[in-house]
Amino acid sequence: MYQEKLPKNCPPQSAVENDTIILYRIFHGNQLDASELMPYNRLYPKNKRFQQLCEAFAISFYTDYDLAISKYNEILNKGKKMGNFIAKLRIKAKSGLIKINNNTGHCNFWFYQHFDISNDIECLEIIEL
Amino acid sequence: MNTLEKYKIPVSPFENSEVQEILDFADIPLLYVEVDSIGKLYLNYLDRFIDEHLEQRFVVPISEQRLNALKKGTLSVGEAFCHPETPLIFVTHVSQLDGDIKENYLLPNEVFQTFNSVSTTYFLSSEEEPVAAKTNLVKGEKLLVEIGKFFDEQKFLFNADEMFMAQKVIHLLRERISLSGEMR
Repeated sequence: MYQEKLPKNCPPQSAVENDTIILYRIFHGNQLDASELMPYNRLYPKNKRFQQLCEAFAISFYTDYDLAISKYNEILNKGKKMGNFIAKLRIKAKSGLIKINNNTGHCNFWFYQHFDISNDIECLEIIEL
Repeated sequence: MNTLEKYKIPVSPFENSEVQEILDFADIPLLYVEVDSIGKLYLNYLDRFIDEHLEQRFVVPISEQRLNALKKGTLSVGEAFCHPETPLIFVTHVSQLDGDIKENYLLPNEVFQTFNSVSTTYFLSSEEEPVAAKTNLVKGEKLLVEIGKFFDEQKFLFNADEMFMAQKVIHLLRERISLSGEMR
């Protein structure tokens, strides 16, 4: 049903199916393709510590540009560049389940198996960081 | 030799520990709870990357009570590290690639505080998972059954007025739990 084979109780009960939604994603290349939407568990498949944790199977987005930049800067100060670009995206309804943290604007997205980046995401704007 | 090297320990207390819950995740796990082989809980914070894929993390033992306060947002993450419950704090170097802990350091609190980078304004969301809230309701119902039984079995300890009051309180709590369950 999902793009990833998820662990038990994942996504959490508090996650909801998305309506059409505008979200921000920080990414590396200058073109947003499937390689930019890889969850942590696939980026680091040998990292055994996170192979059963639901968040590691989600893709991170932000509900707000400023909140995304704030997190980008926070992690940059820790010595890691999360990406070179930030994209404003319109994601089609029923693409998956989302859980938004209203305090930080961070959003975990677990995409359904049928989700297709070329059809279900519209890139509205890309800004270089 | 830098200050940290003086506190290197040859054993790895987190060799068999498991990440129990991620508390803050933004493409990478920033803060999580891990549990060691004897069930002790630790709060684990990403301080910084000391190499491309090598994380320096702060790890403090944490009680369930404190952890709950942290999750409810009544205690900041910074406070948990500024005023830890134990006088010794771990610093670990962990590979992001395979999760292996490359080095372990054990620092007295006063030394750790010179490294401590956790902001005291860093609070977690106060959003509680409905599943946890529901579990608490079930626990509450069970507790009320036990209290009811206790009053029935130990009637001789109370006079009629006290029994009436106790039953009224139990009834009120049952109603509230039932109402709260319907609202979810």
